[in-house]
Amino acid sequence: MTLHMQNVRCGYKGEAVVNSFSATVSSGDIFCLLGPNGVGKTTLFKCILGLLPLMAGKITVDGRDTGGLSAAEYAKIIAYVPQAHTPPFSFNVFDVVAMGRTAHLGLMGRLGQRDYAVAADCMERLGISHLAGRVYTELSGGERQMVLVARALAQEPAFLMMDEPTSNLDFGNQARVLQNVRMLAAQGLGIIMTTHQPDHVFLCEASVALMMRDNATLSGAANDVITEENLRRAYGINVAVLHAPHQGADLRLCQPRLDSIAPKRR
Amino acid sequence: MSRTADMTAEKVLQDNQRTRRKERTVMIVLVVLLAGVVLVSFTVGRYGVPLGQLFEILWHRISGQGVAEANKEADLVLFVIRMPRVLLTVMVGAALSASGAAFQGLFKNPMVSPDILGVSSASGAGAALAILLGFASIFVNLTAFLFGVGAVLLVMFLAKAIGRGSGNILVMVLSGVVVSSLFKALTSLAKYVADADNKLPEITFWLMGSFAKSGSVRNVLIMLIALVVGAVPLLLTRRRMNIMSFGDDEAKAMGINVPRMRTMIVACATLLTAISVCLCGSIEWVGLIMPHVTRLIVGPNYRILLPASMLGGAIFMVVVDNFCRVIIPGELPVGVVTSLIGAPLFIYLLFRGRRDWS
Repeated sequence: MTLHMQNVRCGYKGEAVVNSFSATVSSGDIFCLLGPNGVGKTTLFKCILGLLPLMAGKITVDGRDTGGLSAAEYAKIIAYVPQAHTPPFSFNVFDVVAMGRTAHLGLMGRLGQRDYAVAADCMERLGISHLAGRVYTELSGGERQMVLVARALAQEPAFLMMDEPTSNLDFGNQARVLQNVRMLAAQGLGIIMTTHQPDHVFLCEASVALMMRDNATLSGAANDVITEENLRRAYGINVAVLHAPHQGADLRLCQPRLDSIAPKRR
Repeated sequence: MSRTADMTAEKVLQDNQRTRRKERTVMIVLVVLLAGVVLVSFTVGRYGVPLGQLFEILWHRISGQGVAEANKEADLVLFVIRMPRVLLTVMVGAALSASGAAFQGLFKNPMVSPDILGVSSASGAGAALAILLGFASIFVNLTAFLFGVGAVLLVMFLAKAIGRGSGNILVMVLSGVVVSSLFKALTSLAKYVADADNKLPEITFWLMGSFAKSGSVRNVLIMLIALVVGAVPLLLTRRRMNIMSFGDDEAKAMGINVPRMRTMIVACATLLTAISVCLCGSIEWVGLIMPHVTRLIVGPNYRILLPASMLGGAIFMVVVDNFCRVIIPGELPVGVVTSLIGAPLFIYLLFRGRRDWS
């Protein structure tokens, strides 16, 4: 499947935050939205999810306009993985994952054998079956994030939209989440994620849209977009983009040059 | 996030089935318990009807033999006074609990209830004004409902405007307190100008909250209709209430038509409380306490929580009403007792459940 965003304009209360955004994401792709705070990543993200109305442009899936889709039809195409959060009630983890099946049920539908089986499979796929009997609110941030991924998978969507999936996670859990992101893409899901780490774009071998304050967006493959020059333009800091051979792999990583940032006046 | 391989999808499904069976057992126990307390409440009261006599009368009625001369008086007490009252008590208990559980899910907030959101006092004020203006009883019910809806909308608006959409629990509770006090003032006003000979006693009666004068066949029918119209849609869509408690964005992304669902919940939950208040006055705390107690026992999943709270609420209400009928000859107002039990119980739950809420 192919998700196509064409000259998308979106914002709040009639004021556009993102002016003309275009991108194409296909099944199996990882697509990162990168950019400084306040540049409209979240706005655009909500717009693609159908949570905010489009002000102009259109979003199509395999050529079909998503504008007229109901929430349930939309949910079967694109699933949302929010940042790990604390809900007000201490739900059982398996129940949370099974909630992802809602779009496949009628208004009054109850979960059937097949729905539970899908939910259990999704947990197994992510290697978190052992969490099934736990209480969601008692999990660690990393575990909660994986449960939310499983819940989104249970929707059986073509695309996953992940909102900063690594935020608030420790170093190891960040890596595990990204590893799962790559695995899911390899299994055919299209993944759109926002991130604050240019390194993650390299780690996921993703294509990327680097959004800048002047409303320009640079899109393309990681190697073409994540350059020292572009990062300086986007974030206003000096960055070293390094190549590092390590045990046969050619790693790329970004490191800000703290010594060359102009000191702010106090 | 360590990966242990000994848990498989199959095992997860087995565990899930076990949970499901446990839930069915809980429901059966609650139904049996309710049947038990209902039966007991037929026998107790100022005119005692021993169980043996009760069964005899029931059997005679069912088998169409007519009532024996010796049972005439007991039969009258049972069918004209006691049964309508007990049935009403059962339904009001269930309605208030369902209403509270639904509001808690909708507002992602275990601290709200029909009382705290001002629905109870607004419905009371609406009914008081309607009586004052001499409305027919169907319009008294309607006015109570409209005032109730008005209170919820007002609280939602205030909480949003003051909390700037942060969904802060405290802001919503405080907004409810303000709105509630506003409507209580309206009720006091209605009392003040009411005719002291007939309207005032009528209005004063609900402020107490009591089943003593409300048990009639007509009221049972009204409550039954309210329960069907209000509780059935909630029960049918109760699995979606789980998802509503994760917030609007997630609910929509999981395929729920959020505005439609929200309207439905507000309308149904308000109707349940408003009609209860119309018929039996404002019986506070039940809508807050019963979903809490039930949540401690069966967990927060509305699949089981909603029906179990309704049964629990019904049981609680019947037990409290029996207590009120028996404890002193003159009968205690039931609202007084629910408040006396509810307030300290809630403090206890606050301590126990603290970790479940932010």
